[in-house]
Amino acid sequence: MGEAVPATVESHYRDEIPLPDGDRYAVRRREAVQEFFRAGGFPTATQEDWRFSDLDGLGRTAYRRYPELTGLRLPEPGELPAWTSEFEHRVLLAEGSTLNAADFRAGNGLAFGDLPIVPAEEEEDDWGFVAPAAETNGAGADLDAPLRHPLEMVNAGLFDCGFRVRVGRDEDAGPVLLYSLRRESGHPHMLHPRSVVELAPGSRLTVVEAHDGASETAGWTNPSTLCRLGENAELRYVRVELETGNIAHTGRVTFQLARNARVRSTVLSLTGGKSRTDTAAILTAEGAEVDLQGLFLGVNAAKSDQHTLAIHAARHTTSRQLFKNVLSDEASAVFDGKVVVAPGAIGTDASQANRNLLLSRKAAVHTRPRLEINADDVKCAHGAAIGKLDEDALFYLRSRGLGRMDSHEILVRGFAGEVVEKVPVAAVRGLAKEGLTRVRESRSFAS
Amino acid sequence: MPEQQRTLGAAEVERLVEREYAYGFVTDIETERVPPGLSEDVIRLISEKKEEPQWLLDWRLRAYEIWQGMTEPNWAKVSYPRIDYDEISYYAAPKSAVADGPKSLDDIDPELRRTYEKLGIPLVEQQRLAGVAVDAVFDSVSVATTFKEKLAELGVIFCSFSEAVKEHPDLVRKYLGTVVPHTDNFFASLNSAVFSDGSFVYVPKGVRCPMELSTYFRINASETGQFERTLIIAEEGSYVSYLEGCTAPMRDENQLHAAVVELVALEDARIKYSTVQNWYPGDKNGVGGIYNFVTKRGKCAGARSHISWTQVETGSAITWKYPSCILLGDDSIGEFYSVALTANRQQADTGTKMIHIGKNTKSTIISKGISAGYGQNTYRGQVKVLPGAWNARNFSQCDSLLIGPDSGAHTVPYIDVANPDAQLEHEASTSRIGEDQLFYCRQRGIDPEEAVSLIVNGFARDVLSELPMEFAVEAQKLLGVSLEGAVG
Repeated sequence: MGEAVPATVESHYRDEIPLPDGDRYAVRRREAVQEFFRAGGFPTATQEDWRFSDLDGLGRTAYRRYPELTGLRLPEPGELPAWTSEFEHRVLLAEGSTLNAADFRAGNGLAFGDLPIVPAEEEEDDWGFVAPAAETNGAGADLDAPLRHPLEMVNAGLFDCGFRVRVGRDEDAGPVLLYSLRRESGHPHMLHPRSVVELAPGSRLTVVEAHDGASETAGWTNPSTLCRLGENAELRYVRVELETGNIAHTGRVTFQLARNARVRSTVLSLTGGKSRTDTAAILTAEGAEVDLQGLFLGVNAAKSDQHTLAIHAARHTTSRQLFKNVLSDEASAVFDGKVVVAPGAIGTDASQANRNLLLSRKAAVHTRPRLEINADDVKCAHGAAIGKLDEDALFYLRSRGLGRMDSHEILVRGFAGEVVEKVPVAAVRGLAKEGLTRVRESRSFAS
Repeated sequence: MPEQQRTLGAAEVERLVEREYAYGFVTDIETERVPPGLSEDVIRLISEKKEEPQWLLDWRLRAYEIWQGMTEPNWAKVSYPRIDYDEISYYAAPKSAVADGPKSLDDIDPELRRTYEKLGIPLVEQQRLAGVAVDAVFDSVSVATTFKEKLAELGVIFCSFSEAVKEHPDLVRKYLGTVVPHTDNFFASLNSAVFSDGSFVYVPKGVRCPMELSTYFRINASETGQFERTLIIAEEGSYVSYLEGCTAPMRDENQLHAAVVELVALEDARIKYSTVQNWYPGDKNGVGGIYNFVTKRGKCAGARSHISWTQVETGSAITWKYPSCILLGDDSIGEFYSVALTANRQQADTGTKMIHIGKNTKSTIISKGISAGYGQNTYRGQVKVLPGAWNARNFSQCDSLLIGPDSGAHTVPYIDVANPDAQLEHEASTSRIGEDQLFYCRQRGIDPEEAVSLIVNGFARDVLSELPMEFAVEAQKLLGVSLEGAVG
């Protein structure tokens, strides 16, 4: 599939490049990318949804693609960060190559596999092109919206590695780690991983998706994850963003929930570079519930751009959102949250909150909690707050003999704790603590 | 319970459509107008008719040039068919008002006077509501301004914009476009190119304007747009309260209203600007109605200055309006109080911008949206704190009330903060008129319609209480009328 030379996304999908043999979806994939360019191509800051994440540069950069990226020695699983070994089930990727194919095993009703680039006929919808029909009781909603996300189309067209995790009916499994590592390659390179997580009715699963690595050469990671939940299934999803340096991260995770399914999701942004994540939940049937949380611990010039979308497409569904940002140095954060209540989706209960702690005079925050309500018998509320540490609380701690640094730290940890403590995996809570230590050690902390 | 509510909902909509627009009549009066279409010649013609100085014509032409390169904004949550700007007549004036111009209030065409009487606007000073001076704008021209002399004694200038250009060119030139530049946005640039009239207010240093100043806008002629421009300057330590009302006849075609309002408050000055907007909203199927695309902005230029916007928006097929405050002076204050009601097929995308630049600046936003029938109501507001705006404070509250299953309420706040000292809070809630609330009222012998009116007025009270008394009464009645039959 790949050419030997670096090329922009657009030139990767020019018509004159011959389609590979045997890939009967190649045409469809090319169409997905062409559709992306027809719809305007790479978004720029003049577009409402991309005001703070101008991606124009991504479109102009000539990237190499895996697998022609050679000359890099792949690490052994043992060389990966220690915390990754605390998981019983892991999928380890370096530059998009699987490190631990031998580790793949079934157990506890769990099944792993590569997401085939050329799927078998019956597996067509494993790609997530097809959204489930909603049991909307007459409600009308745009269920495909997250799948028409411009970068989702790029991923659908270019994905070069992918995984499928399945858990059987009424099984209780996890935690599963999906770990992707990028390293300095010396060339601009892009990666489009694609994962599908499926929970059969009544099953429970914990998944941790982590993106790690550092590169001074321009890199681009554009992963898509689709999680499908059957009736009564329960998913705990944790996303950890650890990439740093010159890697641009534009990721998406989409949850599709059937009747009475529940999702608890946490996006932990510990990026040292720039990352944008779109979290979307589609509540397609009565009783579905999502709780979307996020925490960004920003130091230096890190930038986290968190977008959420909760689509209430059926009656009596619930969504909660809580995103918190701690900003030190020149860190900046964007929260763009959206709750959509489809016509007829009465009994919706939605809440959305964004809280920001500014620790430095150069930190900046842009928040946009949005509600779109098209039914009258609903309960919707949202709120946003921006401020610095409470002077009275600091005074209280200092007056009890705590030092300046310590009292600041206690309050910051308390602020972050609301999200961190709900993370179901100890290893990830450890990463958050390391992030908090970096905040304490940042230049502008308690200055 | 859901079943029963749905039936109620259907009845609601049924009854809502019976709502009547009381100001839909047309005044039969001879009108002078330029043919539809927009070109440099049309702009020269408007400027010539108004006997404007060269600098103003040049300013208009610059705006026109820039406008031609602009595209109509599409980010608002409103939908309407493309506007053909060449089908609009950019200037219409009642002949009698233009020919020689009324020398005094007694010279006003009786037909015009009857029109304003029907609207309840006093043009004759004896019959006035106590203490309100009125500037009446009919299509493209100002037809009368009352109490001019009395205000002049205090040095307050209150006149039509055209008159200000002639009598006080230095003031106009000094402030025109300083808050909303001719390059600002699509509709503001269009207005800058073709604006025909409007009101001008100047309050000198230390003067507290003794009466409410009021402008009444009336669109009468068909196939015209109304493009008025209002400029209010409050010098050091002065105070002025300004009211604005608007109506238009019922027509099947959509008419464009693209106004610009600029406020300048210098040190310690205070401007209170209130609007009751009741343009023709179109019929139950969304046919006709005014497109109200307005740019309103105030500059708190001096320290401790204070600008307060209050609006009650019940009319217009589409409202696109964001009265804003630039908080430049230290310790300045900006306020925005809004009630927007959309019924039938009305759409409103309205809100504010509070730009904190000076130190210790404060802003308050209270927005109440009411959606009934198929009405779509969007609050869109920005609070921006720049790096130098130490100790900035903002409180925003945006509540929505939904009446009927097909109505929509949307909230789009933008909060951009670049100073750690800032304290901002934004809260929003959505509710419907509860069965229990209605039951409570009915138990006490209040009929359902009155109960709805009571609940709606209670919902909007925080805003209505900010209006000057005469307007508050009108606004309350308007909310009552607009919701007549909202619950079966």
